[in-house]
Amino acid sequence: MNHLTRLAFFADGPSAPLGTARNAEELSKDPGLAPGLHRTEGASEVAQASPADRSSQFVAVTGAEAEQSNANNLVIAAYGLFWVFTFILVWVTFRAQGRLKARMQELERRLPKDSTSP
Amino acid sequence: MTGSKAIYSALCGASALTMLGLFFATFDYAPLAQLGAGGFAQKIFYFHVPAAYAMYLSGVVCLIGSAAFLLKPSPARDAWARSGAEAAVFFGAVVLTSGPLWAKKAWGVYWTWDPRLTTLLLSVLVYASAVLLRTFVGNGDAEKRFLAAFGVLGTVNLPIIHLSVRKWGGNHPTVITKGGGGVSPEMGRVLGFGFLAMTLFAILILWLRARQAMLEHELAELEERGMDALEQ
Repeated sequence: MNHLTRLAFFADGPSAPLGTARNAEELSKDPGLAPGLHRTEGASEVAQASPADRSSQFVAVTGAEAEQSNANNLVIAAYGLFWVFTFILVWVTFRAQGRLKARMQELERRLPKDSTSP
Repeated sequence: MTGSKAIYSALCGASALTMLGLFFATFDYAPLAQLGAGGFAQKIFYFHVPAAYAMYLSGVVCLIGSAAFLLKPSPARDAWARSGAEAAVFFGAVVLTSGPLWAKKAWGVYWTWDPRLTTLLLSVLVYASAVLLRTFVGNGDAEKRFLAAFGVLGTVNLPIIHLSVRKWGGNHPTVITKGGGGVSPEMGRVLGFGFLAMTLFAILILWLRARQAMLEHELAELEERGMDALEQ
């Protein structure tokens, strides 16, 4: 790991590593946090995570429904945006192709027959 | 029905079915991930990662079309370079919008100047600038060469995006790459299906956009010949 590179890239000064939680009392008062979830304080703190702190696997779990409400909106937004982009692309493509085809047929109709031969 | 129309119809059907299947597999079959990975928000993973892969695929098509066009210009090569760039912008936009929404849950912030995010944004901006130029400036030889040059430049950046996590660290998970702990078997199956669905979708988009670019070229040729015929 090149520490100089990391220092240069994340030059916000020292702070707690990713996942550092506030004390248990504070956490229990925060309705948005479920047990086991450590909220970070901001972008600079997140950016200073070492590679060892990154997730290296996804583990299947059951339960923990209480925490999912906020995530619902994020997932709906993500899938919604994906479908919005898709429909825009399909609509733009078919509209443009229809316009082009119409222009081409009109042009072919107007051209004298002998001029279309190579 | 001609051969290409049959293939096109089959591709449309297969793409629609696999995308629908991916949707149901994500919410019905794939288990919830741990909260550190975003919990329910980790469901975004099943199209976020395949979309990133589809962007790479589009970038490769753009690179091949662009390099071939720079070596020996032809309308077909330009069409594939253009469609590759357009598809890369589309999939890049999907990745750049879905990623931050997942990151909000997993990292606590929508955006951080993580090396992979930064290099991906750079690549999408390169492709977007090429597409915008072609859309608003025109289809002259200089514009075609410009798009081809940007197509090569944008794709050269793609391996940097891929390797940036290993080289410079950052927050991006290293789940399915070398050194990662992997995903559960059910998650792996859904992710694999996601790759299949997004590959078919990318091929469909590339084909559609290339066909449109070819039609535009044919129309321009026809108009030119029409003008010549009228002048005679």
